[in-house]
Amino acid sequence: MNLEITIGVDVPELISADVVVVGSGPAGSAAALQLAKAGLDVVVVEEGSYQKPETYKESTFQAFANLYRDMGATITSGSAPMPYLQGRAVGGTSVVNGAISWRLPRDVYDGWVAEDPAIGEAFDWETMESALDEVEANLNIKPTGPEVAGPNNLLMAKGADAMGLEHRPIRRNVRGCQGLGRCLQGCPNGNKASMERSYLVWAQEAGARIISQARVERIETRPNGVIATDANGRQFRVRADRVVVAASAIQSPLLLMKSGLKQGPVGEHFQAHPGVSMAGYFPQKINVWQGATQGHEVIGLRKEGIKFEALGFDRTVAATRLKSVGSEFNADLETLDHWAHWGAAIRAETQGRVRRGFTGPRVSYNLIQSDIAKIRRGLAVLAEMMLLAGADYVTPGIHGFDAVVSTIERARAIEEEAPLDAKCYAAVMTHMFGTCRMGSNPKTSVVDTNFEHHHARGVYVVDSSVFPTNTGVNPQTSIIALATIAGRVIARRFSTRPKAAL
Amino acid sequence: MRARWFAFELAWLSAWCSAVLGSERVIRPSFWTTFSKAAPWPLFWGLRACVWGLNLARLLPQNWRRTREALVTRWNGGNYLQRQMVMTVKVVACFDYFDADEP
Repeated sequence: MNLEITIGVDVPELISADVVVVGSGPAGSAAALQLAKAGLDVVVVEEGSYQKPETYKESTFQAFANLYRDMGATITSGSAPMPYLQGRAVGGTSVVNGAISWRLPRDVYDGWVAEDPAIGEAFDWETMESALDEVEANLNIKPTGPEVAGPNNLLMAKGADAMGLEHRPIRRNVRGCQGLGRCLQGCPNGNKASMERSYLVWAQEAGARIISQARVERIETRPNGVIATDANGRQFRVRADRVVVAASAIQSPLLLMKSGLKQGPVGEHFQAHPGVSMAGYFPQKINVWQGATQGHEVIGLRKEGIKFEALGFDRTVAATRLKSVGSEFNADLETLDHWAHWGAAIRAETQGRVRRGFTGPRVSYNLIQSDIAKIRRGLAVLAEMMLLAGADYVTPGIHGFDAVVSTIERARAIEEEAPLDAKCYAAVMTHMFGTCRMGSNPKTSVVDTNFEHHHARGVYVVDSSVFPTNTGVNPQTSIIALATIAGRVIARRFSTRPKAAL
Repeated sequence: MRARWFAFELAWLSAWCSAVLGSERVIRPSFWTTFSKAAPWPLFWGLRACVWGLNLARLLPQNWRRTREALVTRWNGGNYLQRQMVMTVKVVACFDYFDADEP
């Protein structure tokens, strides 16, 4: 299942294609597959490199250095900066995510259509469901089996039962998972159905060409195409009648802005799912680095905008989550195998923006009070759930609240007594949306309901930046489904519209 | 954007990492080489600022004669900036510490 990749430095100064796809993550790969299957000459350009699974190291540091954008040190600006993690590799973030798969919830889709009925006319719910079914079949999406779950996941089920909250094994895109707990460092057995082992392979089999280690700097219009830079700093051009942008909700608006496509709310309406975690000390060994990385979830509060997941970390991340430093930390390291980690992801109403910064994107994001209250509630539920699952004590990691909580009463008090100040929480940004939102009105959206830029014919955006809102659930399956629909729309329009002069 | 660290700065970093980890450690050259190449400039310079900031803090009257470990313990529960500085060093220390296990 190896890909044939052309490295940027080996690409001539000018190449041509029918379509150039910017980014090889879930959106780019899915769109590329549909376009190639339609018989179009497709070139995918990816900034990251291609690495075979057997080269993935267990060390989080090595993974961050080799597979993550800016070594995972990308952070938002604002009163309480938050890190946001993005993959930078052939396959995009799918290489390093937890393989969690969720269908787009019907209530989220209905919300989009209620705000702009043109979205429902462009693709109705049946079309969306059909695309979601297709993704689930293609990626072997199934619930995590108990044989690979491991104690961290199984204890979450116990805690949720004790609280009477709805829960279930997480549905994941894996084949033959052995529960190594290394999803976030890239699966060394290649058992995760990430894009470079699925959609991108199929796109190449359908004729798509893939270029790695080349950063697209600018989109050109009339004639259409992109200018990319290889690892040596040399520029080359890809001329293509259609440009499909799938570089993520951070990078896609930045690319449009760098290309002079600043019309509409590009970079605005940035939404995400801020996540916080709870660490709990159990009398038995948990070995949080073993078992399915993220194999169980609690969904009873999803309608409130809070979702809980078990978090499998390697020792590095588990250690940084310990509250202590110095000799106390050194002693805590000896008990690292007794700590469980669970997280809460918030469907935040906060909207931020992405702008061009000094050397890259500048993401402004300031959590509003109602979202901080949701974080507080999420942490309170996590603490109670962990204690009911048998934890001796938990460490909420909230500045200004008890460092250690060992009673249900104090766990519940988090919701009322923890400070409503974002600086007091160690939140991490996950799942990003909305910065090139889709819609029928060019004043309030960047692309139309055919995914085409309102002001640049032949330029399309197909990743999560077109989502009108966040989803409250892990978005990879929805991203692939929507990009599949987009790829079909673009292919159909390609054959029915005259090509721009090359 | 990416000026090399002086040897004394690396020694300071090792000392602060040791203080955070609560054990004697020296940042491994192989780790530092990879880190220097991979770290984006805000992290590269941010870490440098943390190391200088922690060192300068030890010169303040209230911290005079305080051990490094005592200072990071105090700052770990301090204001937002102090906590972030300790956390930055802690992350780098853990990166190095746990990366050393793997060939």
